[in-house]
Amino acid sequence: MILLKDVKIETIEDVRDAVQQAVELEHSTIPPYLTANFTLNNTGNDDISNLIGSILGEEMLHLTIAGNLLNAVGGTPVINKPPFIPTYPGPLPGGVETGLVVPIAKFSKDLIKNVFMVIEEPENKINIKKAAADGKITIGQFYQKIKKQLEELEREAKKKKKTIFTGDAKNQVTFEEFFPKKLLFPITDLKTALRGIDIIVNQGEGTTIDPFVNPDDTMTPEPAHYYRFQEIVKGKRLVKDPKAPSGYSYSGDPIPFDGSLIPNMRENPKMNDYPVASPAYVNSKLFNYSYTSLLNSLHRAFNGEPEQIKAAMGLMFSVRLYALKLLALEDPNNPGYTAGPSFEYVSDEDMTPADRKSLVENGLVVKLSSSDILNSKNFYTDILGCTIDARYTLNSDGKFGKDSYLQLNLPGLNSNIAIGLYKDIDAPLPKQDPSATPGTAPTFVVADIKSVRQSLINKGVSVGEIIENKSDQGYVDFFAFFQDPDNNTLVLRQNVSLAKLN
Amino acid sequence: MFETHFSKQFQNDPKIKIIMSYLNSPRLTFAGQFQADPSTVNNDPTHFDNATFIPVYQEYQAGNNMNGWWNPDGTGSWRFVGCKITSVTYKDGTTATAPADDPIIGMSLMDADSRVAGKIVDLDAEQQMVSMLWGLIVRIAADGNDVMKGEYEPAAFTNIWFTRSLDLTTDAAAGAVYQSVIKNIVWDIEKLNSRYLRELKETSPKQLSIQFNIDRYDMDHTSAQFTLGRIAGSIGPSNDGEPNHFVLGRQLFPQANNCNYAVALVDENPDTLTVDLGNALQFSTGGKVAETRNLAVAVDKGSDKNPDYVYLGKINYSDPDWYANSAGICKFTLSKENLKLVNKFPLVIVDYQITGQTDSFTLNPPQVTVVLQESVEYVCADQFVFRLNPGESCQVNFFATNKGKPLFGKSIEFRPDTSNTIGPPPSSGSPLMGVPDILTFNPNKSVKTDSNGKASIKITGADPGNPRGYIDGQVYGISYNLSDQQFQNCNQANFISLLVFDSVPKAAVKNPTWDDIQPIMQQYANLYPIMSKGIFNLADKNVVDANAEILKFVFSKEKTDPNYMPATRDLSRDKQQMILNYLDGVLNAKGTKKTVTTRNP
Repeated sequence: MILLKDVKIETIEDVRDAVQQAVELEHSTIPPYLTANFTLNNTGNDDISNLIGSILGEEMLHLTIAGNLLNAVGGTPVINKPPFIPTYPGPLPGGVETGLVVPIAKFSKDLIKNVFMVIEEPENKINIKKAAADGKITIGQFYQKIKKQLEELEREAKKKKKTIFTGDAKNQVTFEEFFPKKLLFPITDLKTALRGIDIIVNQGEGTTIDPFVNPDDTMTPEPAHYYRFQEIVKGKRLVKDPKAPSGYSYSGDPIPFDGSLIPNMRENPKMNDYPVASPAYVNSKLFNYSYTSLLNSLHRAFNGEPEQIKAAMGLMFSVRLYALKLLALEDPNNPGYTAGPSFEYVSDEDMTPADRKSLVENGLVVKLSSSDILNSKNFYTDILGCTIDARYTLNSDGKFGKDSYLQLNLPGLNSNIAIGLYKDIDAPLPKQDPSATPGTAPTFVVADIKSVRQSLINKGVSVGEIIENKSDQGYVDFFAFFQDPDNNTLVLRQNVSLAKLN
Repeated sequence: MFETHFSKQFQNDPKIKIIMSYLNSPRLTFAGQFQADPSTVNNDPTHFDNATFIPVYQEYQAGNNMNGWWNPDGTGSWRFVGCKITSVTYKDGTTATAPADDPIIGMSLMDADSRVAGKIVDLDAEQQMVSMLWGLIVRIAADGNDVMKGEYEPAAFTNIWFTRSLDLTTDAAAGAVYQSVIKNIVWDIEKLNSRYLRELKETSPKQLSIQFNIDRYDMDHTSAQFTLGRIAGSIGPSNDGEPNHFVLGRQLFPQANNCNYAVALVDENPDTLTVDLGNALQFSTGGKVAETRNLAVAVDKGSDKNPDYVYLGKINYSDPDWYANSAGICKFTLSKENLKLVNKFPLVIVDYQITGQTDSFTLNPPQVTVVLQESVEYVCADQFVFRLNPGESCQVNFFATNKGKPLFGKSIEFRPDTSNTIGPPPSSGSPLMGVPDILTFNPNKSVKTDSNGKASIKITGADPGNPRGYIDGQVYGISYNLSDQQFQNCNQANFISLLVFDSVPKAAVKNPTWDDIQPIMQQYANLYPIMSKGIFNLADKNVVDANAEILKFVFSKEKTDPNYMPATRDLSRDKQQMILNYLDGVLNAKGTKKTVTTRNP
């Protein structure tokens, strides 16, 4: 059973805060349930998928009822902000920290048993007192507290000929195409508010004496969520059974399960796990943008544009399609696993090309020590062919003395990579065998090392012999070392083979 | 100041509004990527035949085996991806390119963020060259706020060419252009200190003109860039009553196959010539302009045989960011004298090659080759793609111009011309197009332009029967031209495409059984595997019946709604009604409603 941190619900503001938490709580089960269900697509497990689907439909109903309730009591549901989405794996909103960790994972009976059934487990009367004493409450108790305070606050308001149901009735969301009026109706007074909460609790938990949902609270006879999940685990329908002590047993029609076609989705995927240049990343981003758009449309639906619920419905299908595309893609970093939906907030700005804050977003400057900037400048411009980027020149004393700086762009490249000569030494560094010098060595990757080496030699530069190198994967390249006037080691390199040599 | 005939007319008659489009200022430029994710199983007309359809038609193309072509699981989505505003031109002709100068620079240009993406839709399997965008939202967004948000009026691309990018092949090498208007605009600019947005809202509060060039599209399903392409475009002011899908400007025609159509506009406040070369030049590796020519804009004040060029300026496309920052639009300031010349004589874009000196005292004359030449008299239909049910009519609005100004009392001829316009079917064995002859025109063969250069015709489609068997209705192409011109000398992309649907016997529409709608549902299940494999298998009666509520919901939406089903917008009125009646029958019999997530019974 999920335990929430006990909350103070006294004032109308407390009620609004609690109902906002209810909105978040009802939403929080949707990503894990959806993901499990996505992984069942076209795997021959339609019975199981329909059971999870029926629970999902009801979670969406609960979210909508909670949103209506919050509007009814003059609150403003907030759904379109990044913190609205729980972090997976993690606790449910308002949950106690030592509680259940909910993952985004593919369908398995273990997931149903160890996570989903724990989320949906009905109150056990014996546990109630113990839990409350610890400053923890069950979801059922949480809703009872809201109910109790709604009644009390409305009673007090009535005395003053007022009401706590001050919300604009025009903001109430109904969607008759999918949720019959009996289950989704405008909440405008205490009666409809209490009725809404009862539907949430009863569909989730059933009544205290019957695992089946009260027929008033559903369209088709069905067990409460916990028992529907149990049906999946047991592989049989829950039916009335006079022989069983409780009057019910899992002895109905079989619910077959075949796990062989379920994609092996890596648990708790994250968009940024994938390389930017991969189909998994692109589809993950589109998935998340669609999911964020879904939250935006719900937010608008609960903030004065109830018709937006229809747009939300369309986005549900978009979200599904991108999830299915991800489940059919390899996880680029984890052989044997597929990618999957991550349910992350992706804003407009996230959709623009400066995707990931990269270390070299705007370039790389290699700083080299120089004892004589003008002498170095001649070497880098006249011999190596660099050009001066005058914008960044710093001539400290008019004579390129201490702390002077000169930035040089490399020939043939844009200015994203540059060399910065900095006067922080008075005399050249000690001359050493460049090929054996430890430390930094800027390396110029050239197309034809032989001719570049020869042209440097022709200009009076001493360049070492060409050395051949072969990497573990069989890539071959050539090197040659030389030095600048301050004995900074520089390297010429030619990549001979970019493909494996075999 | 108002020297031209058109301006004088405007000055005298306050009822005539200034014609405005994205080429006018205040104009913004955006650049980035787009995603087009069409399903391609329906690219082969023979795939519509349920009798011969086989499962491999839902698989990726493999070598020479076309199967379901390059994107069988396409969703139909079309969206902006990572588009940013790169520059603006103010009303006075000055520009800004840095956020420090105007906060609009660097803002995102996006599509919907609280409903599904727009859809890209071919007219028909046999007319795939006028793909339309439906249900698209255009938003300028910054820090979670929509600065401007509106609805894109559905539009088809035009001026497609397949040699746009020299480093690419097939459709990836193609380029095309979309032009339309943004309507139902909501502004939220008060918090921003943007001179540009203030000017734009002030100039054109209700409607904006938007144009973009698309190219460099990635069709390789193994690539991370799959279904993405490059986009660069502009947004500017727009008025009612002017064409929404082309510019009443100076029409520049390519004189060689290494360039494409362009349009220019003379603005007299201040005196400038604005030339849109966005879809006119070729590109190469890295998305850089592939030009070795030295292009210049000029006025030809000579005659056909003896051109006499007055040069207005060089086209500077050498900056690597030129295209992203300008969308290919170049601006030239005109002297009073040149303005007169521009208003009087045709424009040309030439390759101006310096031939050097004979000696140090003698400059050789340049070698000048015409690259684009103005078509002085021009006619264009604004909307040019139509879908009709039997008995329905559409109005085609023509605009005739002479050097961009309205051409009065000019006769426009038109004729059914399917084979010349739409051309042969895309694959062998595809059904014949353009028959039977069921279109009627009013007037019959030609029409004269009014004082605004405007003329309209009404086209009515009778029931074509079922000439294509397994594909509903028939497609028709209609060519048109000014009576003193030949169609083959006009812009060949300027023709009218029509799809006229079949009718269904009334009795079947009224009381359909599953057998009546099964062939339609089977065809959708075959052609759109993303639906049949990912959401609903429409070919399965049990699935259709179990989801009757949601199917009714999407089958009864407006065509302009992005959730409209079928996404391909190729369902006739009668068949749509038949399906809705079938679904109603199921719902009435059932009397209960399933929740949306119940996919199967």
